[in-house]
Amino acid sequence: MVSFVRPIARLVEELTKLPGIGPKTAQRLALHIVAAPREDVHALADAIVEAREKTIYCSICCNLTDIDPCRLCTREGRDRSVLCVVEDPKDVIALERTREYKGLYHVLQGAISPMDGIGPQDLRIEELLRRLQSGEIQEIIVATDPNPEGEATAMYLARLIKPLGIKVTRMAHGMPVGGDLEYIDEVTLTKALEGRREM
Amino acid sequence: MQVRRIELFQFRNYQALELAFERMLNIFVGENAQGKTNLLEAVYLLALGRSYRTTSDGDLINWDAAFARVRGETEREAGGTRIEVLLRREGPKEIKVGGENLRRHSDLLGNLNAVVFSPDDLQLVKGSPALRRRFLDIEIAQVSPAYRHHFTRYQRVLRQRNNLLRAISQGFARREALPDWDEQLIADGSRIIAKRAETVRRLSRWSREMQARISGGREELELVYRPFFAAPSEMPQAEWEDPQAVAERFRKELEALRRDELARGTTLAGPQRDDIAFIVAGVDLRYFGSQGQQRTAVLATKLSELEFIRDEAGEYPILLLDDVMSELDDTRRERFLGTVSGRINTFITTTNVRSFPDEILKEASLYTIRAGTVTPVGA
Repeated sequence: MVSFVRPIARLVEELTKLPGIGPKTAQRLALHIVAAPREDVHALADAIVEAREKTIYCSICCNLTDIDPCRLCTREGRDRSVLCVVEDPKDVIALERTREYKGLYHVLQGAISPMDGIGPQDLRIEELLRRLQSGEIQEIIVATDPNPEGEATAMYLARLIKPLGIKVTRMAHGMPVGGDLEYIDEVTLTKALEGRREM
Repeated sequence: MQVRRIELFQFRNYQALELAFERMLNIFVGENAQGKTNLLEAVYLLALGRSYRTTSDGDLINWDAAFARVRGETEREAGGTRIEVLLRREGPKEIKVGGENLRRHSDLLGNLNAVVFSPDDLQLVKGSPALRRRFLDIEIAQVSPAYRHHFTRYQRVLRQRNNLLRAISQGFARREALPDWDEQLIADGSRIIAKRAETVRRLSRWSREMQARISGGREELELVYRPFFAAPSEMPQAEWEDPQAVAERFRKELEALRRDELARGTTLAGPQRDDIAFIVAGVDLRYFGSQGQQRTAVLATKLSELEFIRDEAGEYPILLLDDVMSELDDTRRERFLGTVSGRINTFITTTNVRSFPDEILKEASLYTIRAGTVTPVGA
């Protein structure tokens, strides 16, 4: 069997370690990279190294940042009495896109998952509790994913935080706005029915 | 529901095959290992998106090929559709309905409902409880998206909770973490139990009559759902069909079993420990039925399954009889086929066409299958 020369094989091997990249995609990417203009490849390599080197976790909200504390934590005009707890940095980006939420964030860096060996001690929960000590925060919005792991994490947080006298809320499930009733799947509809409110 | 056409490409031992079905009843005749069952498997794939014989889609792809494709045209009262399943040796499976790619493969279910009956199913009464639960789950999943949702979720919660219990017993996790999973286990689990209990009660309505029909009017079959929390003597109750009432019992049971669960490192409560009992004249056929009674009960249950799906979906499903008719005696075979013929789109495989009564053969399209080649008989 003919295989790639050593430098390419190594690149393929490294690319395969990335999430969502299988051997075939890795091969395609590697062949693309070795055929690309030298300066493009250097730019890519530099970008990878710079992203890794210059990114740190915010010492307050645990989100990814290049300065500490991060811009969201220090920004003027945010409501410092509300804290939204999410699993990942990409959740912060999604919520910020709404331009409606004005409170603060806390990024757990994952969710509880016994089968992956992830327990509460592996999440940024201690950091969260420390933030609550100041007494400034009055409401925690738990916005972890609505899957089993996210729900378990939400329950754990509620159990932990409610006794401190802080209001704990969970994001609602429901109908997508602008969606036609007939096109919404039955499970979402059922959840929306369960969460109906009086008009 | 009917399958009007099917097209196989590099599926199992078929290179390329196109078949149009004109009649309700189709019989595939051939020696063993010629591809009869593969054909039924392909039809099943269009209905469920997976095989009933293997969990590995790779097994369905022809030896030398990189992918396999099955296409079909269905007909139903609300209008037919085209279904296509593409299996790749490397890369994801693709399912299309009416030319549109399904983002969620489970959305295929309900387009074409199918009931399969193979020699393995003859163990339904006396085999392990897992077999009976699987029978129910596949049946309900075909007609209830909500059930699929709770079922998939429950499996995941159960796996997580079992991992947690193991971690606690080994000292890697704290037992205070259990409640975070208990509520979810109870929420999804009690919905599964309630839906199964309701389904079994409804199946039982038909199974009485079906058992009588096949046994020649002597016996009535009652199906009884047995949730894990029910004592053997406990009679079925309306409460078992109420998710909230089930949840309450589930919660109590979970508390009572906590010590055992921690000691054994696994979840001991929940629908994964439920069962169905087959009762004739007050006797549990699993333990006290003759082989003949057990067989009749399986046939009656399968016939009831067809009625249940019709009740839910508004139309009969298609029926796949995989080499199972030869396992039955003449009387049972005739009564079974007499019940389905003319009403239900049926696909049968057999090595011996002479085992079918003439009035059945008269209505059927016959095909011979040899080494992956299908030839219509008398065409």
